[in-house]
Amino acid sequence: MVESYLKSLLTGQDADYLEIRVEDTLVNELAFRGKKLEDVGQSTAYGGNVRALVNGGWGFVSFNSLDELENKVRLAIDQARIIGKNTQEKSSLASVPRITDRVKVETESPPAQVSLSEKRAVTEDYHRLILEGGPEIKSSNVIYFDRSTQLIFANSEGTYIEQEKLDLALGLGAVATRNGLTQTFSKSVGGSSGYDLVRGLEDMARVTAETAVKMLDAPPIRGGEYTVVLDPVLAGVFVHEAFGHLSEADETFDNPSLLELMKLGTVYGPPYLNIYDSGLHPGVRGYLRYDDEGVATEKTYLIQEGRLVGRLHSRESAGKLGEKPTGNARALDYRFRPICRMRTTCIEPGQASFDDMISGIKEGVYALGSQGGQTNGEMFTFTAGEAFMIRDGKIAERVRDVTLTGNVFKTLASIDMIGSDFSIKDGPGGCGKGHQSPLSTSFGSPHIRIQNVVIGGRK
Amino acid sequence: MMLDRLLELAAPKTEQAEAFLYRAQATPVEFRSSRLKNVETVENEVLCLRVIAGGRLGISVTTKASQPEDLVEAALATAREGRQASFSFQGPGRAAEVNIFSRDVQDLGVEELVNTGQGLIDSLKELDESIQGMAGVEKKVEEMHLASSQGMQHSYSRTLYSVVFGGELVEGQNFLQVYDYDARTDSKVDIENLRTRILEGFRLARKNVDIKSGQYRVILTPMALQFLLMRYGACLNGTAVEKEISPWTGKLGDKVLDSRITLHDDPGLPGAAGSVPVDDEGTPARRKPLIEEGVLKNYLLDLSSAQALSLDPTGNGFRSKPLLNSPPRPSSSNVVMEGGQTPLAEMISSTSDGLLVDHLMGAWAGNPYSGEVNGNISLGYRIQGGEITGRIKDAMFSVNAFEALSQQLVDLSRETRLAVGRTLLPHVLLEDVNISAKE
Repeated sequence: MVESYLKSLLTGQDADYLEIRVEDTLVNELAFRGKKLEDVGQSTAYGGNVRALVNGGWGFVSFNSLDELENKVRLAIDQARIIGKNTQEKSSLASVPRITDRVKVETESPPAQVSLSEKRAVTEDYHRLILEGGPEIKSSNVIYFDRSTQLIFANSEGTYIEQEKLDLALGLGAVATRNGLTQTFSKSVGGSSGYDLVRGLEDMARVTAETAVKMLDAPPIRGGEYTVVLDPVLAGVFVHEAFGHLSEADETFDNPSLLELMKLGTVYGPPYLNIYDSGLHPGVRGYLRYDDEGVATEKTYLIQEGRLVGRLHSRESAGKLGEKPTGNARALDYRFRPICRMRTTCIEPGQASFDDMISGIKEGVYALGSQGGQTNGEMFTFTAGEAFMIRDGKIAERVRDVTLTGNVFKTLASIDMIGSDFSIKDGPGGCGKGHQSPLSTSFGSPHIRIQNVVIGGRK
Repeated sequence: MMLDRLLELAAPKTEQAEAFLYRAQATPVEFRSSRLKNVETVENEVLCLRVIAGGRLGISVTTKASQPEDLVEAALATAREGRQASFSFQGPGRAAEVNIFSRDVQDLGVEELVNTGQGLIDSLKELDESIQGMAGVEKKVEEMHLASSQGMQHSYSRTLYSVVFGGELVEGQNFLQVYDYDARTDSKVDIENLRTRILEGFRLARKNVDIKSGQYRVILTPMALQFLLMRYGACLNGTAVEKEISPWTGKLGDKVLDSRITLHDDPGLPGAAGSVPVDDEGTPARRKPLIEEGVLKNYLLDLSSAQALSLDPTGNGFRSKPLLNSPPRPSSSNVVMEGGQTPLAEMISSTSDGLLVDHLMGAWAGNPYSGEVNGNISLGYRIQGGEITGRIKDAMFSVNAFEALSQQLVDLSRETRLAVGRTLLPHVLLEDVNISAKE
């Protein structure tokens, strides 16, 4: 039995803390690019790792085979010891309940029960609908994947968890060209609920192609400062980039000046701003029962009524700061140690209607969807999937190449309206931090309005 | 051995087969908050099989090298649904001679990696105790084995020594991050140069100066120039050309950039991290011009896109390592841009009002084929009267990559530097660059 074997390796070792993770993953992938099917692939990955903590230093060994696991445990401890020798630090992990659990995926439409040829037929249908979007459509970019993972986690404190995970997504992309100008547009779905997610998206495929063609006529936006209204997708990216990353406590706990800035209780937004990160939203890609330190996830408020109230913890960061662990220690896969990561990060809905938001704007921008974003803590950028000017309180002409940037703190304080709608959006991408990318995270938000946002471009 | 067995198993059920085995062992050490924090050993062994069966292409990947039968079955299953294979796997060929294995790197001990990192961290501490230093020093030994039913067979090992170094200074709501990265296949990573650049960055960026929206002269460092190269790379990608989404489709022989721009793909660049004897499909690697004096000369081609475009493969079919979780796709090995005549110091001293931009945040995002590059200037300096006067921030840099190195190009520096391990680039001076700043 793996359970008793792992437990025997974890007992009586000369380390402050030890854990072993073993992971078995099956991935199916399909990609249509250009006019045709490009790839159909299947991959299996089996591997694991040992992580050891000695005097505040971490040793880590990853592998593809359980052979000679005792030696790998030994190596991880020796590596941790090298660090322990150099530092006079004491290990401190926040205490968490000892857990024994087996988590099964509950789904009414397991992708494993859908044949590869059916998956191909469904994605091919979307691909065809995109290509039928007009003579300007040069290429579709349809990608599908499903990933099933069996994860075993055991630590030296007696926790033992077997966890099944399901993750799947579909991206629908269209590429339109005219006179040397190429425009791309994409829409997507994703989640952990089952294969049904990717059925019935014919309209989405049609809209994707139509929008790519429309973008050929849109001029690039003029650079400058604007009042912007963000749709739930882009507002979600904003909260992820602008505040989620800054809340990851492994960046904070041993950095005194950052800790001072992120002092709990500090006011960072208007009183109607509430932000949380949760592992508990069922069916989305960021759903997670236990993190990769065997800690049960929860709904963690980061900002309540404009005030900083929490952060995203590993056991180490929680221990160092004397705060409660939140279940945010996540690893991309068996090759990596867990670090503080988001799950599903959301702005809570407010009161405003969409009309309330745009009606007072003389010249502004309505930005929707996302082509990615980045942050360095203080500054963030993100690129909209599509955008329209707002003129005299009405949605006006389409514009393209809209990249927004700003200071996290000033921008949070400049949110002046929060919509009463709310949605969580998923797609095939993911979050990157260090070398660990793409991690399945989700974000949700209502529409929000922000004053004085800088958008790049020519004057 | 393992590959022969796999090809033997596949032979009776396929028209063609190709196997790729990747093994790597890496030892990274990491310093965070100016202290040694992590020491790791990361092992990987991944096996990929591509088949052509019933005229269709299939691909499967596994870390379970001990179960070759399952891998063959999975590849056959994907081939039943796969696309028509219009190309053949690579046959016999002579690998390029390139020196990419260093015993010095292989023999580096953990203590030496730790000492290198500690030395860098100490020099930051000396400069300013309040800077939170970060460093990552890693050695990696890789093995690549390739074989095909068409008689292609190659095996080679490569070492990689990489150092990332920098730090963060948080003062109130003002964040300053200065970091850089260097990687080589040999042990000659220029630690002193890396140290000097980072310390210099912290000295120059300590003071913030204002910038107003407008059009400026901008010097891009080799680091910042990456974001323009990324756009050119997307347009040179044989698959994008085949699908006619690249704006450079059908433009071989046309002038696409300023005549002072010459770009090569150079898989034999000594010490560079992208150097290889063959690509990941077994096509021998060779140096070729991509852009010569502004004229488009070659695309980056793998077997599939080369066949579709009726061109010869260029040896640019690369897989994403270590997982091999995508089939070989066209990408560059190392990119070399020729420099100009002007020393960098003169470029700065002759700029009366402009910017020096080193890091752009988020500039990778967006549609690569439109050429638009928009990035927050996360590390950039104001040049006034020929001197760097301080750091500028909260400002967006916007150019179109196609216009930047044609209409807006003023000059290229004489000095070139190997940036991010695999691009040998000069500094470039552009004019009329749009900067949008917070008013």
